[in-house]
Amino acid sequence: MSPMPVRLFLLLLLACGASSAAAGPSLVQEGERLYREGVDLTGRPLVGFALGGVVLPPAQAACASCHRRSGMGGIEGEILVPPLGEPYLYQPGLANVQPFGRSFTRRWKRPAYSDETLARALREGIDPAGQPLAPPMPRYRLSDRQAKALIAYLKSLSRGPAPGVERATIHLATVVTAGVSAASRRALTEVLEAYAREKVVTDPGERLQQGSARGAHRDRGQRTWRLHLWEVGGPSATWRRQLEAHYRAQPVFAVVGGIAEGPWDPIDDFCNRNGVPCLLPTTDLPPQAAGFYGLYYSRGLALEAEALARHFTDHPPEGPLLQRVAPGERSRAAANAFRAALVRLGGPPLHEAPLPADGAPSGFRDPAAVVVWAAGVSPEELVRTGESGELVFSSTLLGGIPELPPAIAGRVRVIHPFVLTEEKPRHLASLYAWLRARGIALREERVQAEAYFAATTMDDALRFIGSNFSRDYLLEQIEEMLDSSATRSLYPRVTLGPGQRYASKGAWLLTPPVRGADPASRREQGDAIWIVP
Amino acid sequence: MKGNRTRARLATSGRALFAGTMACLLAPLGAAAGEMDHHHAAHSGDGMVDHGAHVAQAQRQAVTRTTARYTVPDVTLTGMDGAEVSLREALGEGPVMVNFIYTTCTTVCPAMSATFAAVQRDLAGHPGNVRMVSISIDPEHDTPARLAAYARDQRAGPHWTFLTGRLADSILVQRSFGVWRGTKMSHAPVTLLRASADGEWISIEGFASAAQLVAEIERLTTHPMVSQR
Repeated sequence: MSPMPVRLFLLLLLACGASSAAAGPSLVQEGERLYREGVDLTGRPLVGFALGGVVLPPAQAACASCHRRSGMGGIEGEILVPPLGEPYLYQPGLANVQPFGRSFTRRWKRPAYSDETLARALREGIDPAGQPLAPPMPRYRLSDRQAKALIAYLKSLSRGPAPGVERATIHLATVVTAGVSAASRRALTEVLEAYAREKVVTDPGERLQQGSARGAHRDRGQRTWRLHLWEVGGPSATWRRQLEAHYRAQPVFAVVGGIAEGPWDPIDDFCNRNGVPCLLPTTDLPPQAAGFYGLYYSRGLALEAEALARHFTDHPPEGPLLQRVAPGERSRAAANAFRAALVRLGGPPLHEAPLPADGAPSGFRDPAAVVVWAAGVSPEELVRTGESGELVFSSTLLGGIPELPPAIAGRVRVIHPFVLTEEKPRHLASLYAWLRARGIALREERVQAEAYFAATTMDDALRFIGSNFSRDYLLEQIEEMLDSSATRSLYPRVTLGPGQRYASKGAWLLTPPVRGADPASRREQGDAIWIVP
Repeated sequence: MKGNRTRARLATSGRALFAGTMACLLAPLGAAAGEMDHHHAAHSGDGMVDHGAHVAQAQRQAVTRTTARYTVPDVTLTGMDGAEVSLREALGEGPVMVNFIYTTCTTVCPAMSATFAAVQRDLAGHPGNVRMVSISIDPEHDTPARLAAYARDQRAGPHWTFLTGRLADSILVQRSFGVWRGTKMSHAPVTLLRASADGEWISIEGFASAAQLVAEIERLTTHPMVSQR
């Protein structure tokens, strides 16, 4: 064979390879950036105009701000933001749909979009039938490349089945690390396994009864739960790799609950790097800046510390403020957060003295208030060492709200992120009934309550998303539904919003009850104050 | 509390079931969508609407305008600077516009705030000295610091205040103005306007344009409901 055609052939091959490498992934990546952040890959903003021609800042011009990261849209107030993605846009659908509400206009059918009509919709605000898009939808000034990139990205949304989802089964996991007590591990797994055992679905679909699709099978999204227990051990720096090994062996749609000994950060890291929603684990040391995929009951001990710092800044003690810190990861973390928060808020100066295991006195003279971060020292023990001033403890570290002898009860206050004792029966009634019905003893109330609420939250959210198995959509639904959940949690109030990842935002500062006092007078609510730092 | 109401409806009314609505849109099968539409037609109460009319209407931003005498509750809220301020003082004695937002809101509030920003621009130099107040309906998340950042993003000027506070107080304020919908995700786009502290409130529900709001303010400050300060 003569060399010329071969060289030509190789050149062509190279050229094809080069151009397809350039066009494919980077166009979708650019579209993703425009969609989520409202800027292109060089940082130039997406130019969008709202009602009346107001130019939108990039964060609002970004499609994700209304259509959400999942592209599934949603309902906010009286605005229905429609879903995007190929199955919705590139098929005939309904336009101008509004949720029930006081103002309502009739919806009409619209034909399928094409690339051309989609670009036109973005620029001119009209659908393929020439009808105007709803007023909240911005109009965009787009270059041809930006239009191509956005459309390429939209087509990539809702593509392919989500990991962990099969025809009749959904795989979920929970995480337990080394160092967690056998009792806590059991409390967690007993609840989650009992819950998962009851999520059995024989036929995930339904036969359509009417219309031209009669007899076709439609997936309603119901799945049998398969719960996997992922255990990790050794140094926490190795946890993420271990979780990734578990994940490779068995992909899961999401992680529900879990317990770690030590900071939860390495696990949160796994969740965010792999795009796996991780819901509501039991931890006092959650990450302080959650990514998209980790969702937490609260910011843990840091929240308690910051609430106290807020309190002492707003109501400075009439004398020195002392912090006593026992050895231990949780105590140290709380103390660091307290110290930092006081500085940030411009609070009173802080004195510090370690609190060794034998409870030796601080030697500090006459503090007005002493904040104590210690799991193993009770208020009575501390008072016996001669500590003076108002003593503030964490109920989390103490393992509960103590009952104290009358002599010292008035001197002690407790920072308490959970529901008040008198409200607990109301909050946990359904948990108690559920456990009783399954013959599960109430062993570790906090672990069991948090696992149960995590399971019901997962259940409710999965039911809502139906067959739209998008992890982003799951999280967006939880954001919306959490505060109207039929099940109550161990926290006074859990609520989220778009992009929020910590469900409970405050803590009670209360006076503990007096031992032996008349139960009627034991209401903590009386002088308990709710602090949102 | 609400007194006598006068309604001026600019939108035709009808009904659609919530779950059906979402199911409608979220069934990717073209056939299923058609089937749902039949399902919907059975539920919708109204008759056919002239196609041309509702195209024009969609372009005209349907709003519902009512007047009412609300009782402003005596609550203490918190400003962006962390200082406490009574709601009545924040509303002032003269003309004021009020809306309800939360900083993580994705759809309704960006539009409402963009409109307020445009109104702020259009009213610069207006002799009426109109105050603008945005009240958070997610006060536990919307700390003063978060409100201040949001205000900066909206380029809020000195006449535009943002308020947060205790959750119970936020709910009380919403109920007092008839805008409480049970959860923040259900919140309605409402703008309230008042010429003076003893005047009637005008409540505009829907996405009023900046021009519409400015026209209302001009009407209020040229023909005050009661004697001005």
